[in-house]
Amino acid sequence: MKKFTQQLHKKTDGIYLRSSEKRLLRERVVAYMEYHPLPTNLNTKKADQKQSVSKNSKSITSEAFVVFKLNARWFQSFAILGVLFIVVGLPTLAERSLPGDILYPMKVQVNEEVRSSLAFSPYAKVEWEATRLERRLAEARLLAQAGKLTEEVEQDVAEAVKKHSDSAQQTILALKATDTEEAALAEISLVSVLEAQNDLFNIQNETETSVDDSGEGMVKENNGTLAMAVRTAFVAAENVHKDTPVTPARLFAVIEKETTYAEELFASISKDTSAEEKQNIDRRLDDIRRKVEEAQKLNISLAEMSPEISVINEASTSDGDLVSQDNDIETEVEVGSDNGLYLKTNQEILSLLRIALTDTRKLINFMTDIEIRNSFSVDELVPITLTTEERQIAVKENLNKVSSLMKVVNSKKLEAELVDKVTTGKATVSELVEKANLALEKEALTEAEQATNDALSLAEDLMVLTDKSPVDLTNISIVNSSSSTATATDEIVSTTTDGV
Amino acid sequence: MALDNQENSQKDHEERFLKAFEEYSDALFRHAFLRISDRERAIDVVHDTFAKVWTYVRNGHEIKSYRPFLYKVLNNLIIDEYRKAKEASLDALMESEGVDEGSFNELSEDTVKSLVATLDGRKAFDLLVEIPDTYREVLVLRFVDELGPKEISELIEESENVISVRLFRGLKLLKTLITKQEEAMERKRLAKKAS
Repeated sequence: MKKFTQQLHKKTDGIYLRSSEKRLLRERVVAYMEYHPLPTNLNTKKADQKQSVSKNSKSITSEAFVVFKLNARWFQSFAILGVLFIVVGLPTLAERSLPGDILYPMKVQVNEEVRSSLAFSPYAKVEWEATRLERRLAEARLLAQAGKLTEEVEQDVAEAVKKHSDSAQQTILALKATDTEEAALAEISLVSVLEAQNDLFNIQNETETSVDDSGEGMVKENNGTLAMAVRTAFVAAENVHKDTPVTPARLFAVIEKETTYAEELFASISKDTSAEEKQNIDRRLDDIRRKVEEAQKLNISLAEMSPEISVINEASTSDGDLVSQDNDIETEVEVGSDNGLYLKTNQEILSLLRIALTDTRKLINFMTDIEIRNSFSVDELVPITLTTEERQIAVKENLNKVSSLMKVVNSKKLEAELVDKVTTGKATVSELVEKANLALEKEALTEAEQATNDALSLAEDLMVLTDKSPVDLTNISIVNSSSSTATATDEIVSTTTDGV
Repeated sequence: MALDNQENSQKDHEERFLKAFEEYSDALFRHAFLRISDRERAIDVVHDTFAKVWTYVRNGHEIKSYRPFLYKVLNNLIIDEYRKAKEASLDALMESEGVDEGSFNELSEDTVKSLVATLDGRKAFDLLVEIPDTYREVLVLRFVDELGPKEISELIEESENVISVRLFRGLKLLKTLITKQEEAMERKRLAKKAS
């Protein structure tokens, strides 16, 4: 074939325009161009539209082949781009949509449903439903911020909240039949999400009532419907959850996952946050870690406790029929008390972990949702949990306050009708202070706090009571020397501070 | 400013057009000459081609690629030439050709290739004028202008199958003619020898 072409070309190459012919032809063409110049307002149309092939016409407007080829390529790449856009672009765009946007139905009915079908385990499904619920509320918040939260949307969001929490509950219910442990875990997860959201609404309501009385009535009312929906869901979930026993081991894993996520988030946002906010969040993360550690300690002690329980339980079940009735009752009591302690500790661990989980969720919400960050402070969302040292210091400070208040009360010259009341009050205060000091020594902080707080409020009451009485100048020296509570407190404070 | 742009755009159009003339006038002439075998008329057809294309540009159409477009216009003009010259015979030819999709054998690119391999290009060239233009058209486009079957099919608005069939039949015709010519020459030689 090549040979044939070469031979042919040898012949055809001899056919060309002689230079004179070419010059002449050029002149003719140029002359034609000069006689038919381009119009001054030439508006060239795009080639693609005009050079279309018409099958039946042999006219000039038919299209050239290479152009069509380019078009095909262009069309192909356009088609690929189109498919890419539909598969990747649209869903990504839809993710950012809000209720009322064109793409919003895609977000809810396509994106989220696809992700939902990708959640294979029931636990993952519950988690995803909870996330969807959070997403709906975050959207509502965004809309409210922009002043676009209409009643209709509000109603839709409330319904969505109900739908997602119901769906989660149903999944949990189905899960209970097969894996109680997992079901309980899913429940805690759901409850913590709902609780975090519920708290958000509570805080919002409080701030709005205190700050604003008239201006944002509408928003408040709107949020009311949502808050109600969240509260209802929360209460429902909480009620169901109460009946389900959980062992802490898997809860630890869930918290571990959540806190890791929170820490990652913290690391990623730390660039754009103020030093103060960073410190605040870090403090909260520390608090959560401490709670988990505390729970772990309790869990270790629980593990030490459990073998005995199991032994006793075994004894009671195997010997149950053989032993006498008296023995039987004794065992039951024993088991009951041990079991009681066991259950109490277990309960304590769980409540600690749940608080930690809810706090983590709130922190995550705070870090991920810019609206929440704008409207709430970390303090409002997750109040500081004091460390043991801080609590000790707080107790001591309060005790000092009590002693200084009592100094003032003691310096007053009392009227006859007050003497009885005040004397009893003083006695109670010193009792409480004593109790608080003892508790401090034993490191029973809750007890110490309770006693100190009681003492403080009583001392304050006494202050109010004796407010109008004049100062008894003659009594000052005696009061000072006999102010056993104050000195005692001071001594203890100094000793405990030394100890610390 | 707007006027400057206008002028620039006009200049641009003229430059592109004249550049296309320089680049393709020879090839177009060769094609036209091979098809109509008349030097003067071939030059006229090429001139008309450029005139038509210029009118097209003047009417505000953009030409992205000049070469295929020029070939298209030239081809249409050559067909018009044929229509004017021997309308009846061409029609008869078209009719006989019809929309015959050809046999399987004729459709294969391989059979075209093997047929080509047996042909002498020089002799084929000499005999090109002897075959009907329907075949000459595709043969020139394929082997002289070296366009692909797809490009030819788009240019003359026929399916690729029809192009293949025409190529095959054209080549076969050429082969027959070559054989006939060779036989005639052989006879002549023998007669000369005998005398």
